[in-house]
Amino acid sequence: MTATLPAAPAIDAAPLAPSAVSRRRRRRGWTWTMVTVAVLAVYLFPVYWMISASLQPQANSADTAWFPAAPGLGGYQMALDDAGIGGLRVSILVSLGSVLVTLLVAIPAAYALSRLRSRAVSIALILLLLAQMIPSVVLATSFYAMFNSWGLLNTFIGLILANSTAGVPFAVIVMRAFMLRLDTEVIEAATVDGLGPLGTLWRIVVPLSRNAIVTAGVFAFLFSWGDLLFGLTLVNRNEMYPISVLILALSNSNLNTWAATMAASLIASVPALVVILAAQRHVKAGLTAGSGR
Amino acid sequence: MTADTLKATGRSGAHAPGRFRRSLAARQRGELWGFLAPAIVFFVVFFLFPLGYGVYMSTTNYTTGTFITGRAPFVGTANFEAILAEPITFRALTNTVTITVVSVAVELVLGLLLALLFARTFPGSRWLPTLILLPWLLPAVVVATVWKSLLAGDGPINDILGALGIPVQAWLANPATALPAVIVVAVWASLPYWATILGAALKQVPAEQLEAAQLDGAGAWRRLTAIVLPTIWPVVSVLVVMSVVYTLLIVDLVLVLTAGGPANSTVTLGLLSYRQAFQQFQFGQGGAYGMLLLGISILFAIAYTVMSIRREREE
Repeated sequence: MTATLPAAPAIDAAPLAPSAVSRRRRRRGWTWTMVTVAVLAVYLFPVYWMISASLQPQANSADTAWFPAAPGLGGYQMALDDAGIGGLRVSILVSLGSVLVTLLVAIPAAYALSRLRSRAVSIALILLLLAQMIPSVVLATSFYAMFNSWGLLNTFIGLILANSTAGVPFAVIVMRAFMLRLDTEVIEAATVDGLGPLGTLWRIVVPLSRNAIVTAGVFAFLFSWGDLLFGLTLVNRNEMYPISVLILALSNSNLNTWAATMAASLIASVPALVVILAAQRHVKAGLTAGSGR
Repeated sequence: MTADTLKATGRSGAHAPGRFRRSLAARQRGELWGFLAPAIVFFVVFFLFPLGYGVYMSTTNYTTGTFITGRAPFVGTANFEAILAEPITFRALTNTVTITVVSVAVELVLGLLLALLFARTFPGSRWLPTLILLPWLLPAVVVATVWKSLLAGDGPINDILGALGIPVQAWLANPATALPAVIVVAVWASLPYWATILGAALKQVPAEQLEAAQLDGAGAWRRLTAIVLPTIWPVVSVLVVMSVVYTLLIVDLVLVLTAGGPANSTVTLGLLSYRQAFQQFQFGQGGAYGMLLLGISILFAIAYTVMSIRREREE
């Protein structure tokens, strides 16, 4: 309160004033820190609850405590024991597969759409936006009939292709925005120096667009990893269910402890976290370059 | 260097350098179209064909028998008439619209508040806001499962409410509270996205203008409505339409939280489409629900496309 007063004795107090101001500002700064911490504590409570409940295998659903006083890993054992490991394996293979399919389809397309000067480009971009708006339940229903006659139900290929429908449009949009900023002269020089079209794409464009490609790949992974609907509809054999479907089954089962369900949930969340942390630097660069386009 | 090489080849080889250059450009265009080929095939097989097949299914009596006999009798608009005669369809329609409108409105307000909070400079303001991204990394099925346990009759939320003297109940098992509970979960899951995008948009707001307004005596509310909101409006409008479409299409969250219950109080169009196709094996009616949902989302998709084209033109 008094800190606001010393403005009058300008000459004498001059060396003192800045420190008083900065101290006041710093004190107000800490209030905002506390507000933020409080907001985050409330907002992130469900995440804490998931971790805490996963460590209480001995507690039934009513007496799951706020703190795991005697933490145990029994929940994790239960989650991984029967189907968990298999589900994790399916999810990982399907997600990696759909990253591969997404990039194989989207990299050349994004490059072409960034170089072509034609009305077709804007039509293609509109179609990509519209494709993202088709309800996945509509796709799942049609895929069920299509894959049934193609023999792709209960297969990795089927799940990979279905999940790539989430990744491809997004990947093309993000990578095209990035590739628009590449130096045209470098690419044309490569062409004239005798690198074929594939050579130019592979040796010049791909290395230069690393950030955008990693970003598109990470998102393709996350989309596929988070999928429930395709795993639920295009699979009816236990050993082919992804982890998301197993969590749904656990959460609907009549287990009298939350520990196994929460442990499975936590296990299913870790790969997404690892992928995004590992790729953080690229994703930041890939998205900022693409934004605003 | 490019031009030199071109000129050299032109002089030594063909008669007209112009024609050579044109044919080079034409060849390059051909190659670029070749690069588009895999994407075009993918688009036709995995978007266009399923879409057409969905329309076809919605006009036939497509059931489990169809997979054996290969026959799906054409029934015209009978599936649509059948679902429109069901009162549950209107329940689903209202629920879908309610969930979408309410959650997007709440997300906008809370997301903006969070973004404004995170835009301040304070100790920890560099890394604390990144923590909010954590829930965004959780798969939808995990979000719904965790909230199912939080909202359970004997869950921690009721522990708090009970301690505060507020009457407790099984939120997801009571038809009166299940829909609001679903909305709360949808908002929780989307907030990181809103806070991050709006946070990035806030960086575009000119700081000098804000300072000048403050010196002129403009209060915080006035600065928000007169300077901040107009600057970030293009981002907000696109974000709203995108979230509307995204929220309309949500199936997994509701499927895990309530599966449409209790007493069908939380059914949505997407859920009914799933239920008809994969639980009742009435693919025709499932397809009809899907088309209804698609029609609604296309309306918003058109709005979104028009907006983004206009935005691109402005830039």
